[in-house]
Amino acid sequence: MNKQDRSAAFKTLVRSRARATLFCFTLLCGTLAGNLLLLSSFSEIGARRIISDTPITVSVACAIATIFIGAITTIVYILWANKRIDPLTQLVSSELNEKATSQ
Amino acid sequence: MSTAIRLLLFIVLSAPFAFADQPSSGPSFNPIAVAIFSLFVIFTLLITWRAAKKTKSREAFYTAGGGISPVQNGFAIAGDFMSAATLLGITGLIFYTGIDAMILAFPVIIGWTLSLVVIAEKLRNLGKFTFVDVISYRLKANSVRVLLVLCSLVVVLFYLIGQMVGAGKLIQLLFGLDYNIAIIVVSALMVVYVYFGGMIATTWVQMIKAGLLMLGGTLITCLLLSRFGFDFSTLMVAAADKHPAGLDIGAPGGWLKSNPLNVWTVGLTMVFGIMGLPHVLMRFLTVKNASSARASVGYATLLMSVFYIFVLIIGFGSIAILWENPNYYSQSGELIGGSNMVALHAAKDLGGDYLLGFMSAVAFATILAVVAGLTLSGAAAISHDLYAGVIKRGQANPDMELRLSRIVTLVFGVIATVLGIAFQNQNIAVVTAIALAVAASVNFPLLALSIYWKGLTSRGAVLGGSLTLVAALTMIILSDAVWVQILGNSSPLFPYIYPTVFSLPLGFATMILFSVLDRSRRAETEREAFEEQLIRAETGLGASGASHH
Repeated sequence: MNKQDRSAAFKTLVRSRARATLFCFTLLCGTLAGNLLLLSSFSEIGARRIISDTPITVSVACAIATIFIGAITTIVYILWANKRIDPLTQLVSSELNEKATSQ
Repeated sequence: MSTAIRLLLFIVLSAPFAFADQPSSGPSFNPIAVAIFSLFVIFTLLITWRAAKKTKSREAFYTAGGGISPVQNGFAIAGDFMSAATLLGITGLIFYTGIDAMILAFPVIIGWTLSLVVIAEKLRNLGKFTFVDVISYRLKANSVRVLLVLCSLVVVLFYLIGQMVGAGKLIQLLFGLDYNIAIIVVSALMVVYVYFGGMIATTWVQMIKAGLLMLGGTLITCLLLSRFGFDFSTLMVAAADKHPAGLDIGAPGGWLKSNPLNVWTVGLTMVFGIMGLPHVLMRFLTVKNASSARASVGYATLLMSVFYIFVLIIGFGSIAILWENPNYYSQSGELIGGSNMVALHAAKDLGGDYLLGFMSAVAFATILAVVAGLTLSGAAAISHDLYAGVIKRGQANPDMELRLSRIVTLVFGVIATVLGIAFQNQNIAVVTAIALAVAASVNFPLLALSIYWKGLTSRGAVLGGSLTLVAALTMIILSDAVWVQILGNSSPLFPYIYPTVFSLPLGFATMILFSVLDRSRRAETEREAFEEQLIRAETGLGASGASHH
């Protein structure tokens, strides 16, 4: 298949997956970068206490939050992909199989 | 039952008597740990015996025929990745340095989630047995396979050395067994699992280990929190009251001294190293399709997310219950057994000898599961990627390939034994750093670019990959861990822990540059083949499905 022969369903599949990947990649890398900055260049912010008189600082909270963000992103992505990507993949596969059979 | 397995069972069942001459007091000998460990080994050997009947083809040997369910594979991936360093190493680092140690934890979850959204499904659709198949899907030059085999072996061997040395020292500490004998026992078990049971047995070992690790982590965490009224802030205050750093145990700077480049290089290594580990990527190919690969990475990520929260709580909670507790400190004021014993001392304090014994056995099972996965991955690199892919140009006899896989497994067992003994006094962190840095700097960029960028060519991959591999290894040799600590020089020429903050961008830049400059006919063919690869990557049409056995 050439790029110009791509069906509408295939283009939708590629575009949907690319957008989701880009969004998640940006979210996750942004979260990572934020945490790394708190541990390095902005350590004075990282050292601020969230609950006074405890060692629970911004860095501690962000480390925990990062793990939760990863877990939630995982769940949301899987639910979304099961609902959106799998049916599209089935459709595209059927189209391509029909095309191959007819040729 | 095969003779070899009968012999091994005899050795294992005799093991308690082998410890009879060992001192029975102190942390060196724990009969409960020996009993639980023996049960684990017997059970996994029985599974290996059953798996051996099904492991008659290379598909079954490398990827269990693609018939592993997502839940099983999720546990196996978690079991394959989480080594003893996860439970013992990170908790020990938190114990001494505070929140900085979590840089070894939260990037891992980021890395796994990125693996899910960026590579899991496409890798399953494009690959057959190894991640080398994915990159070689479009880049057909033999030199690409050779480079990838070299990188795979560097990663696998150095990771294996780290695990073997860690296993030897842990067993020596926990069971009072001689270091060299411990290495031989680990190697022997590793060879049996892989030689007879291939991926099926390895998967079960990793699944059981992951289950035991989660159970142990849950027990310790719940018991620890119960001491502080299930209130995390109370636990943290109790830890701060004991630790010399006081309330600053939650502040950055304890380990990495807030050095920006050190922080970034460790973080990037942990995130992108995951996406270049051959033994982990191989697991994505053991399920029947991309949707199952997605689900299995999802399960693994969720399991590991929970476990790293446990690690955080155990790390800080251990400060509260262990710091300068005379039961766990020697007369010289050192923690008995060093920082790797923090989680185990906590288990002893919370649950007595039974919980200590259980966690000791789990720690050992953890190492066994990881080395089995590494050995299988190494065997696949030689027999499938090098022999079948390069030497036989894809026309290898499947039975011959399977036979070679088993022979290489035996060789790996011998190599692991020799290297584990040779490196016993070396810094484990160094050898692991080499593995992760190469995985992050060479394997990951090659994988990402081959899947997503039409312009990557064989020449770009080989030149860029080779240059980056040499650069990464050079920087590691010039770092403190090798240049100063091993070679005895006064100061390092490369002042950072890992090279990744430099070698990862170098990898991408050189692969892109040399690909863009490549005007050969092969390059044009490879660029034109991208569309067909895209169809396969997106839909899985033509990908090998599960085989029945």
